[in-house]
Amino acid sequence: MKPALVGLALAAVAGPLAAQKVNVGVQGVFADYRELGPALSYNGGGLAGMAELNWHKFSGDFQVAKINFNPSSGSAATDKFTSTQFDAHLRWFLASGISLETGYTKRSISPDFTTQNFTAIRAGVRANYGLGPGANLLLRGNYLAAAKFSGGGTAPFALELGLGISVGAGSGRWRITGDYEFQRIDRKTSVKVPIQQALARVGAAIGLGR
Amino acid sequence: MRNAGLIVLSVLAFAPALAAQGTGPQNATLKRALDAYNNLNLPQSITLTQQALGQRLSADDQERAYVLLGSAYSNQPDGFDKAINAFKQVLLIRPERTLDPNRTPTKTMVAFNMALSTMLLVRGLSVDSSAFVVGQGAVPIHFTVTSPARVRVRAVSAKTSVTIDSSVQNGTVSLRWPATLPSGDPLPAGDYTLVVDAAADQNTFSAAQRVRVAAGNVDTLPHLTEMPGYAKLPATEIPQRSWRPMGVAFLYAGIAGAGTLALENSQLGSANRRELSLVAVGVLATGVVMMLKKPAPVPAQGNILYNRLLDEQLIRRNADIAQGNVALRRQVRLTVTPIPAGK
Repeated sequence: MKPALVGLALAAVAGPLAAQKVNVGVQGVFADYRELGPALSYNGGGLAGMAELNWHKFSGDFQVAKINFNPSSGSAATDKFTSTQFDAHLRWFLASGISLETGYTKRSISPDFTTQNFTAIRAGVRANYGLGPGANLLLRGNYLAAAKFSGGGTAPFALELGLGISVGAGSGRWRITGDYEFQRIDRKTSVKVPIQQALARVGAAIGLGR
Repeated sequence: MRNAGLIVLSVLAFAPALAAQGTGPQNATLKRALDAYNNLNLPQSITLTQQALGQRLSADDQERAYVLLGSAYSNQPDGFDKAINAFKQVLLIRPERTLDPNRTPTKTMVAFNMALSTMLLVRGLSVDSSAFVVGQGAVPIHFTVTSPARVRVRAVSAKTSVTIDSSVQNGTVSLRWPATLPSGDPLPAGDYTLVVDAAADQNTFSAAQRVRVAAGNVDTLPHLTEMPGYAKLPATEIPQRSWRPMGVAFLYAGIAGAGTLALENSQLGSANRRELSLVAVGVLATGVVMMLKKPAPVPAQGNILYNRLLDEQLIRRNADIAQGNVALRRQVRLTVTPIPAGK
């Protein structure tokens, strides 16, 4: 229910902000989730929505993804679960396609305790390169700070790597997007409980207010 | 005997010149005088001519008679002064009268020129047709004064009389008349008579030529739409095809792939990397397509600056033209044409 509300909120925000270069889109999501060891691995798929805002040297995006995970073949896991992931990225453009990036990520798991709920603040850099009219590449790296887990523990080493492509009309009216995101979270409780998630989003977006 | 032969030759040479003076005399006595002249009987020709002059003659016959008399006297041993007097009468009747030096005996020519130099005449008054902007041109006027005299040239119409020149002249005179009033304003359009008055002692002579003065506007210059000799350059240019999009796509995909491999936690086993492959293939394919695709036009900064420079020049030139046209619209173009006599 919550993701639907967030999606509606994003759509509602996108309208008034249309004059400030807004992109909204939907995506199909494919994900791989691993925790603790090779025996606890999941594959999943789902849907995601995004809204992106550009304003002068600032830009930001909000993404909501709902992914249904199933134990992967060869996994010892038995329970499937649903992950609702909310991501926020805020960027400040420096020069030559390089932006400083910060943001927030939150992953809620249902049913509870199947895996870990997770929140963190991200800080890093994003590079954007224009391949040609309407085609952009992006690469980003973030440190995930202040990580919190529903089962407790800390993650002094948590990194996120991203690769993205968008291809569309030179005017920005529409585009096809593809995003890859890899997270490595070295969670520690009394023992090492690492978490790793690879996520691909493929979809389309339309530009408003251009 | 030798002198008589020369006279015969010279008179024979002159005969066609006399015959060429028109259709021939109307007066019978004058015709006989001319026949006597053509038969080299100069004394009889002189006698008959003088008889004819005592009769009622037309102006043309009078002129013919005096020319015949001058020609005959000039070839008589003691007739030079009488020849001069006869030619003076010719010039009084028709001041513009000339003799063809190629067909006239030398003695006759000398007598005619002597007559000319002892008289005050204004001959050959002519005005060249001309069109000019007032202040930038003039009307050429030519005439000849046969002896030194104070010459006053005027342009006269019903309402205006403008002195063009007043000076002592002798021989061929060429003047340039600006066709303006003393105030400097252009002469009003209309018909004018150019009057040349020559005066020396008690002698005076006047010659006139009518001219028509027409006034009109000066042509203005059209505005330019482009700089002559300079064409604008395209504001965009298509850059050369580059491998850069593919290179950058491989670089980005390589960094993401290598980063993923480096970050994968060995404790969690090997991932299937389906997500990475999916996006990386899209990135690489896009890079290849963008490399092969015809590059989009990009602004050509040099051309844009060049075009801007041309535009500025064009604006400047048109401003100059506009300013020049304002001045041209204040100017008057005069066309002066001589009016043939009798019209």
